[in-house]
Amino acid sequence: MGTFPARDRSNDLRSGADEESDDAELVAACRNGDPDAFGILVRRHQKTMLNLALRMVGNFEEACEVVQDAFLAAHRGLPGFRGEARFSTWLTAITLNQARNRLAALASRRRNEAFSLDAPIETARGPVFPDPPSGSPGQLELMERQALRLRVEGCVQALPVAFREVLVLRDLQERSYEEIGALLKVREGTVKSRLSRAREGVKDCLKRPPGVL
Amino acid sequence: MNACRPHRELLSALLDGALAPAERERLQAHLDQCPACREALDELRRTLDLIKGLEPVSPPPWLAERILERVRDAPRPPTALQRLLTLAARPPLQAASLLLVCLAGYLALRVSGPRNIVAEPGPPPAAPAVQESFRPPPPARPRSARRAEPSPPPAADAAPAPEAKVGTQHPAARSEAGQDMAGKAAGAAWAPAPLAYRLGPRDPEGAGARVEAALRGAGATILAPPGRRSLSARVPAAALPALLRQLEALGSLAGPRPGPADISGEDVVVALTW
Repeated sequence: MGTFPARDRSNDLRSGADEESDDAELVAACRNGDPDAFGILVRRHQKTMLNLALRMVGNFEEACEVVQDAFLAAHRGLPGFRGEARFSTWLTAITLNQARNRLAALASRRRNEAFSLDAPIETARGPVFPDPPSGSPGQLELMERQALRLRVEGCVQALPVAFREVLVLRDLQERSYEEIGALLKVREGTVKSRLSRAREGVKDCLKRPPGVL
Repeated sequence: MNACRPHRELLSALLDGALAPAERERLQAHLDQCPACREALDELRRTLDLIKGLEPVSPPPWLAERILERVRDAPRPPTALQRLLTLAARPPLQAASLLLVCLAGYLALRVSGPRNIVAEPGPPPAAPAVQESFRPPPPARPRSARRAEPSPPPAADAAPAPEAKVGTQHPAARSEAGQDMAGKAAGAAWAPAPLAYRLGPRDPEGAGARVEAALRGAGATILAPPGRRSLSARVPAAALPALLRQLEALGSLAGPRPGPADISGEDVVVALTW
């Protein structure tokens, strides 16, 4: 039960295959009681999982909670992880699951909350408070870019969860059709058709006035 | 437009390079002659660019530490062996628990079952215990009743009587009694040992009422609510001979017959079963 080398492996440049075998080693070290191995896995995968969670739940704080819950569940489940899938795929499935649970909880909470007219607008990067625009050209351009980003994020968020997760996994996480199919337990043909409908959905949303396409 | 529909559904896969060569050629042929589909493809490409242009966020510096903190605080997951043992041990544990509950219930029922003799130490008589000199033989009674009886302290000048062992006391109570006895004079107050009688009534049905009537007639105080076939009572010593005669009139009566010289206290406790 040796301790994993202390150097920071999370920032190493490795090929996918290297990272995969390295993850497997770390997982084995975790299961043998190495206290540092899980920390390396966390630092290596937290950014990918955070962005996945963020695009799924649309709120930074909630996404951070989702990622924490996902890693906690992964740590708890490590003894049962047989290594049939890659660790990153397994972790992605757990994060997606946690995100779905969080969305269901949020939807339930919203149903029980009164609508507030003066509450800040929730966006993926946190609450937005309306602010009078500055007259400088740099500021205007910045605001336009921010408005466009908010619009795209809003259109992605407006998709039904089953379509949103395919779009996020493919277009933001660059997963293969095969991996998405394995993650969601659907056939590749289903992945293709859901992805097509998701992209068309975002396109239609962006064309609505004020259109940005 | 309807003719374009099957082609439109392939545009997304075309942008991903995920079409089979034959499929891609057919779609390309359609696009070459359909400006609407070319426009749709262009819009889809720009949409994809906008989606992919969403910049990734960086995790806050505290996130990894928070995760590891929570992992450290979480209870350790059971090992495969522990899980197996838990599963294997579950049925025997359940069976043992059930057995224990049944046993406890059975014991509780036995202990708190029909009370044949309600023998509670009443207020101590003014006179010291004298019954030692005419201790009755212990009647056959349920264990619970025997346990409940107070036992007198052994008389300092008398040989240990066998019945002194009958009434078992908690060691703490015995020790307390010993201290009490040492601290008090010979006339110290002690709960007298009950005089135990067994009545064989000629009329078992009406025996209870008659016994109670006889006791009340003798000025006795019934110490506890009478059971179906037992009771105990504090009887004025002077009224005891008359009471015993009345009880004898109800049927056969087994038990001690103390003479007046044997009784120096004002009251005696009588435990009666029939």
